[in-house]
Amino acid sequence: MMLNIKLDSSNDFSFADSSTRLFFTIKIIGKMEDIRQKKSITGNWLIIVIDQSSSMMGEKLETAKQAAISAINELNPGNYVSIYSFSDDVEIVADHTSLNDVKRLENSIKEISAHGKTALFKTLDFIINKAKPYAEDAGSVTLIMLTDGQPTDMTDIHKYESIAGMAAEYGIKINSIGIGSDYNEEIIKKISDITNGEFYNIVDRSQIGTIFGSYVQQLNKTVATSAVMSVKVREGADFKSYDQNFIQQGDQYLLNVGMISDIPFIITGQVVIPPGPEGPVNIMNISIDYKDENGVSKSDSIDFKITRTNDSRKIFSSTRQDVINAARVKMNIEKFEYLTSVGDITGATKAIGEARKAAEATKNIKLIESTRKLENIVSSASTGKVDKKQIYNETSRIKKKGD
Amino acid sequence: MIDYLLVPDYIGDLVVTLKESFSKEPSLLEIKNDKVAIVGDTHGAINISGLAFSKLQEGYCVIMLGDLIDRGPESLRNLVFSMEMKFLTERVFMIRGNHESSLTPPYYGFLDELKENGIDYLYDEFLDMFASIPYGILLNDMILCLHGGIASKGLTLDNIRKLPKGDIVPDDKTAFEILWNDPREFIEGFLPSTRAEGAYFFGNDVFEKFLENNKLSYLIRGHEVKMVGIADNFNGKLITVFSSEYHGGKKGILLIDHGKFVKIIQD
Amino acid sequence: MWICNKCGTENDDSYDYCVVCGVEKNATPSAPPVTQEPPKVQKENVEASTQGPINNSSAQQQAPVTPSPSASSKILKIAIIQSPSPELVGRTLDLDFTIFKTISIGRNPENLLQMPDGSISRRHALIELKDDKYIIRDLQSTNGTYIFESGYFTKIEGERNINIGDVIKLGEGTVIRVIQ
Repeated sequence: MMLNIKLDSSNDFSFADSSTRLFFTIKIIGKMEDIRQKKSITGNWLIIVIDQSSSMMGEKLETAKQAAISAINELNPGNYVSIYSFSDDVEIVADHTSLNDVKRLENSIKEISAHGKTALFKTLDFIINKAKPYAEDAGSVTLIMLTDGQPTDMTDIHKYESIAGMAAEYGIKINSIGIGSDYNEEIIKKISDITNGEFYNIVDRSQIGTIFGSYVQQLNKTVATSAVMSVKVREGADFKSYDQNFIQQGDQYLLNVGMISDIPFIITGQVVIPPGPEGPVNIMNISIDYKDENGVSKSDSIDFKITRTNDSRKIFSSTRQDVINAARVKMNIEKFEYLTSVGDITGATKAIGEARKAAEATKNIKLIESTRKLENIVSSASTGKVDKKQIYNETSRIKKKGD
Repeated sequence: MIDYLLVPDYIGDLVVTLKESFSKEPSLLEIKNDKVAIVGDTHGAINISGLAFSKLQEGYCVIMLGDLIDRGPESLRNLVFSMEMKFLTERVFMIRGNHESSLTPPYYGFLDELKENGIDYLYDEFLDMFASIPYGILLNDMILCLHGGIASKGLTLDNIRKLPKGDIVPDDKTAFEILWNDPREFIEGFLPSTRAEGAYFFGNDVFEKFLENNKLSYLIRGHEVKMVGIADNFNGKLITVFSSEYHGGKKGILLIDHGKFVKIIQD
Repeated sequence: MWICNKCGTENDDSYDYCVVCGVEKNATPSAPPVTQEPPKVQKENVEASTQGPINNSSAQQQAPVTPSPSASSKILKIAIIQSPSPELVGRTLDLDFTIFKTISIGRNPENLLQMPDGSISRRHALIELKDDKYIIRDLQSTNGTYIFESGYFTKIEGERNINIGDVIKLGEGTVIRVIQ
């Protein structure tokens, strides 16, 4: 079983006499015949973290528990699961357990009860440190966290950035679900962003089950694990991704992709190429190291080459508009998110307008609707107060899922 | 501030002298010379004017295609310098550009420069001088130099000869078009231009006929920004020379040496 | 808004690089590409030290008498007669109607025919292939869409058939012509 890297860029040429910004989309795809294999790779680790503070009491917590039970039933044997609940402290419901005795796990889950506050920071710190040794072997850790209230133990977002940064280095993806209107979306989203996880804002508890289920489905279709992507940049070019958080080490950018399922993994971004002599040049090398179904280490790599030229006509005639449009949406969504988080509503309005226009050029109906929805949220906000939870729900999905 | 301007009256005298000099020249000035240096719109680029004048030592005479003022800084200095060179050498010839009129100096810088130098009381004298400058130069019976292009009304050399002097705006429709028109591929005849009311674009068909009827081989003009300095249209028979700094592109001077065209391009 | 020095696209101030060609803001303007041969008259010899103008079509244009361009080929060729961007003047473009039946014209990059002219509205006009005929429709643009007839640019209200040879003005600074 093999992975392939495919890169599409907005142009094959850049200006020899000026800095040029090219957009790219990188797709990581499992080879077709291998996708249809019946048994996916196992050995993945799913961590479910459920808020059991007193505000979760009743239907909310019951639905979360039910969703966790469905998840462990659906998850393929051979994978591992941890279940934690937290309020004033972390409670270990199940610790890196195999799926041999699902009944016992179910009973442990049923015993989770609501009481107390929301020690989010302590909980994450504890869990991340526990997951590190496993992740160090580049094992794939998928964490889903559900919360409904403001953290009571630590509210300094920078501290969360720190531990999230650590989690990212180990490839631990923290996907977060915020339910209701009372939780701190800035903190929760920041954690997901840094660890390249997804963020969901839900108002209806029935969605908990759907979301948990979707992660289980992905895990059940794993085609590669322990995947790490490395981008080596040359010629002093400047690399940036709009939808993934790479860790920079000099000229090298690393991304702990973790497990790859049958849905192609897509990264959108830009690279700025400095001026230079005319002629072909290798701008960056993109490689992915991973383990296949037999635990055998494999890798694939491609070079992104462009040609510098002074002939503008060459550049104008090789422009790939579809790459530009898709990238412009993501670029503006990223800008829009940032401006929303700092409260610049005017700037945010302009950015989402640009995103929507670029979306219209892609002719992707879902994407157009998502951007229009965001535009409406911002424009109908009264007295400058926008519903960030709703906004982040949309932007997170657009970033990670494409529309 | 023009630093050598010790005596403001010097400028006043110079303007009056040049006005008389231009008035004696016909609206279509005929020149015969084997070595000619043609400089396009300078808009204050005194360095390029100077480069053209340096050719005088080599036996060239200089033709300036107008638009010496406005847009660039120190266009007054550029104009005064050029006037002095004309007066001293008698081998510098000018045709009128669309900026040598009352329409643009109040908005594009020249009038401000006059004010800064305390000589805006000479503005009317300048306008009078501009209105006396010839509209065209016929070089060696073969090459016509105009600032903008050919006019939809007035398609013979005689029409140009008969253009009245002293027309400040100018009001004469043919004169106006000569200063403001532009050539365009892909059109036939004359099309209203986006530049100004009364200006036109002209196509290759009317241009070829104009050359043929007047027994000409080339039209050399300025008026349009050319980032490359010198560019041509209509199968090479229309050449645009642009010699300014303000546009941020290259600047050109066209030499014609015994029938040989040589381009000087400055970065 | 700033105009790209290479391709003439109008970009929002928040962009540091042109959204169409990718070049940085304030890049060195480039010379138009060259296709010109030296003048053919006997006496001279042009020093080929630099480049000529764009796209000098030596084909003589026909008088605009023919009816609608052949809709079976579904490609409308237009020439840019005038634009505030000197790089575009004299360029020809093919508008391909095989996939999209309408082609939008406007200032913004989303338009299939993007014209970098401040006097052109963001969405200025549409050219449509309808029942085998090409029509142009003004989208209530601020500065109008005009067609040249009987010596004047007449304002187009709503829609209007276009024929080969028609000269159309968009806003105040852009003039195009249908040449095939």
